[in-house]
Amino acid sequence: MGETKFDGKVLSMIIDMLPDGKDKMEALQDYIKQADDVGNDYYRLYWRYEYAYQATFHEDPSKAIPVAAEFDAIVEKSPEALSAFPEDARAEAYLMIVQMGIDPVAYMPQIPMEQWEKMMNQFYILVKRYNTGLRTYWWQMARFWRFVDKEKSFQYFQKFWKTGRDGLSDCRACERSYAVLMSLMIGDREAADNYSKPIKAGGLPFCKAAPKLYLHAYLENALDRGDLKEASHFANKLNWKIERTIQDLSFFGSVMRCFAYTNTKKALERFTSGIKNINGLWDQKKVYDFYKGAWVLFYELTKENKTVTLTLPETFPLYTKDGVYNCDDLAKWFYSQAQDIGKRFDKRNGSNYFKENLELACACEEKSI
Amino acid sequence: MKQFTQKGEEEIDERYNFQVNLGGMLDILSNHLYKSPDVFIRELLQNGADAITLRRKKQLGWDGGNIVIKIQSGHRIEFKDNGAGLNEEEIHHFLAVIGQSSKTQLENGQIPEDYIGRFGIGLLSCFMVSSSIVVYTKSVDGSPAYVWTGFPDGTYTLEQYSIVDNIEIGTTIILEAKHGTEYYFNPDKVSELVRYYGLALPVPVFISGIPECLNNVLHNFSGISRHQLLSFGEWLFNENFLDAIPVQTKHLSGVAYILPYHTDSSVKKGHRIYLKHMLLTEEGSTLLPSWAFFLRCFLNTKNLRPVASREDFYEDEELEMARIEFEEAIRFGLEKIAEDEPERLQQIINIHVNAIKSMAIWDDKLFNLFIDYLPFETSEGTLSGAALKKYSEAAWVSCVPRFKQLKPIFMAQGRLLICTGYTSDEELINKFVNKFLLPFSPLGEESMELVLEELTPFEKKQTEFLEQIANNAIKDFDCKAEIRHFLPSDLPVLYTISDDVQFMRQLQSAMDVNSNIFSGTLSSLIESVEERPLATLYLNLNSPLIKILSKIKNSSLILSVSRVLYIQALLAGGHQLHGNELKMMNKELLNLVGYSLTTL
Repeated sequence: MGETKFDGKVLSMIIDMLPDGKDKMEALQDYIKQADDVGNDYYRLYWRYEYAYQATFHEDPSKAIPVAAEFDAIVEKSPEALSAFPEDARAEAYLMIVQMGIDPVAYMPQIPMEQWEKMMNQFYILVKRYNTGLRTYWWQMARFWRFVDKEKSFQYFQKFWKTGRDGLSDCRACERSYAVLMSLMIGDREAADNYSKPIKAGGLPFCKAAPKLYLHAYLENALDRGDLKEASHFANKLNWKIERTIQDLSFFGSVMRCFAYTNTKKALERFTSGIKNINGLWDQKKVYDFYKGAWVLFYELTKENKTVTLTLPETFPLYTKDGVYNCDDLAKWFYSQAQDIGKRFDKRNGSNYFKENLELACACEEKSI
Repeated sequence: MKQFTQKGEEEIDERYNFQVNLGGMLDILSNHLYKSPDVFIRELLQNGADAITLRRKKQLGWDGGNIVIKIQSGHRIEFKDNGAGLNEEEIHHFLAVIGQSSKTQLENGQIPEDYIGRFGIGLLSCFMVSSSIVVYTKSVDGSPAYVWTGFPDGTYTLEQYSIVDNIEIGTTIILEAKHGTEYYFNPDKVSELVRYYGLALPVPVFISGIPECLNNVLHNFSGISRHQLLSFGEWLFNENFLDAIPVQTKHLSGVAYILPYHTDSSVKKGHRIYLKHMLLTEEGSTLLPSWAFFLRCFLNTKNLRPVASREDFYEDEELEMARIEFEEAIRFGLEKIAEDEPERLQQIINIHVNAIKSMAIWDDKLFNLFIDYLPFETSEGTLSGAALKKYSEAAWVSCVPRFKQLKPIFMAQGRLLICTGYTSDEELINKFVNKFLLPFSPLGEESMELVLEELTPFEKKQTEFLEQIANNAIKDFDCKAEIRHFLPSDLPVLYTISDDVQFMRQLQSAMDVNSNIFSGTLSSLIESVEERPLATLYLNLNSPLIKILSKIKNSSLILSVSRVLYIQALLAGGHQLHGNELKMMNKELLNLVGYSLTTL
């Protein structure tokens, strides 16, 4: 009887042909098992890396955590496993997957802050060991502390910006997008505009995420300030770029929040295509952003309609068979869910970030912008 | 020197000019702004075409204009246009000041639409391939001819050109190949680059000594036969395209070709998108929608703005209008194919199903057009939307492994199960069901009763003991046991798992391997789940094996068999076994061997 031979190259080609996200992840899960069974170190690590990458950039980033843990365990147990990678890619692959495992924790309030700090200490040791990734380390600190202490977050951001780029650094346009976000966070619009200038002018090559990130930062800022004209401008631009994926749920939330005032038909379209991705999502920041937008949308609709007819998934807690929903019920439900998630974040972080963030949306809503 | 402090704190009474290091600027241009040194051809074409446009404006009635390129292979290029030329003042102003473009004289506050360049940095790109730039020029205003020579250290010389008699109006730029750039001074390469960058230019471009124009293409593609469009596409892209859709709108003019093979969004695009007849980008992601990856476009754009590198479009309202126009043109083209040749549409769908599905989600009109042709994986094989409409009942599952697990059950029961685990399928099926009011529904965990028949009260009583022991046997593995009837009867157990349980299994597997960095986080995650989601192991009372098991009263035997069946179901579903499951399997297999030996 013939024996089935493991051929990583062929399996990789099959993976390449699959669409990003769920499809690729399901295949990768199977292939990881095959690579483990035959003990092929390169593919054991490489496909875990690919799985984490798919989770981070195309699905729920939290799903990168278990494979990052397995990758780390394999390398810690037998560091020579990494030698299957090209020499210049070893450190980067290792640090990158560890980063992909740590980053989602900022958006999972059930993980205690001490746990995150412990992981960051370990990450810092890796940065020292491999002498790369310091800029990324500061960026991660700034990103987490945004929800804890804005000033401290900005200080980390400044360290990040001053540290030289290396192989682990994000794309330049993404980095500038975060700089826009940070500048808007401390109320420095002029600096934000300066940071975004090269992105707007197209002078920087950028990844798919970059334009969405900076547009999202401007959009939320405009909405929080109650500037609907500017918000519409950014919402239209962002709406063109967002995709119907889990990745873009936060952007869906902000776009819905703006379209609630300007184009409820579009907002409802965004709502129905986004809500199906919410169930079972571990990234609570995405859920919070989406629920906040949904709350504003249905609160606005309450002023015009009593009910709406929608096709929602059966898993939605207020699901009705006839698809008719009371706008007021929906508004209240989404508000209480967003508030709940916000409270859990604030409790974990020991701050009021989410409370204040929701209050800002409330203030805009009361004024109806 | 005066200290400059934050604005407002001290009045600044002295101003200084920045010193520009031209060598540094060149490094920025070649390493950061331009993708390749070959853009010098683009910049020269652009300047030549703009000079001809200017002469047409200055010298009313003159409608000549051409560009001729003379090449000494590997050494030298003479790039000659018969445009407006420059007088002395213009030479100092435009050739010697970086950022000053002769085209930045605005009309009504705008750069005139018929000029291509706008940044005044184009000529610098020539220093990427040549150590000097020599410009012979004679202005249309009748002033003397001049020769200007620029060097990369930022210096230049200017002399009046004395042999005036034979000098024609226009400009000739001479470049000498720098060491390592000889490749760009080869006639074939130059021809290729002219066609690449300047194919859509309205000014004819010739290689000296060759009568055929390098860029002889149409400027309006509406009304051209399909055959001609496809021939042009084959010549331009070297592909035998499936079909061609002409695009003729306010902002766009060209053709969208349908690729003859399957591709996906991550593949390099390779469009030819021109701005004012000069190649701007091959990527096109700012102009074209994400689903356009099944197309190769040749498009000339108007009234749009470039970014400084001239490698993409500037985001503005005009660009948004152009995007809408493109979508409408493609929709119209596909509608026409559907109307004229539905079998060709089917062929297109067969090859580009993923792109078409994602288009159909976004666009209701395209959804109506395509849905009957789109294929879906079902328990009855691949069925089209048209075939699905004929079913009076169906269920769908959004997880591929679960579909595979349930498929034989649905087949045995003669019921239809649709797999919506692939990209776009769930949204499409939802849309499909709502539009045609079909009695299809998603098969959630809670809908398993549709597949699994409940036991009679008598059977329930008869199997109570088995269910209780089986439950105890597998509860430590976050799984519960339930007894049902289902087909096929030779399938003794069925393991079903939700995404939540799947993720919990992954977390548990990762815990087993003990990572320094993540162990604490993994256990926090597992502990944070208040109510652990449970998988379900269904025992099939139609199966002879389970029937026998339900009659046995030996609890330790039932326990061992239940655990082995649990492992068998996991393996059949392609799930990875955890360490504790492997241990348990070894133990229970030995128990069963021991039991069978003792009963001999």
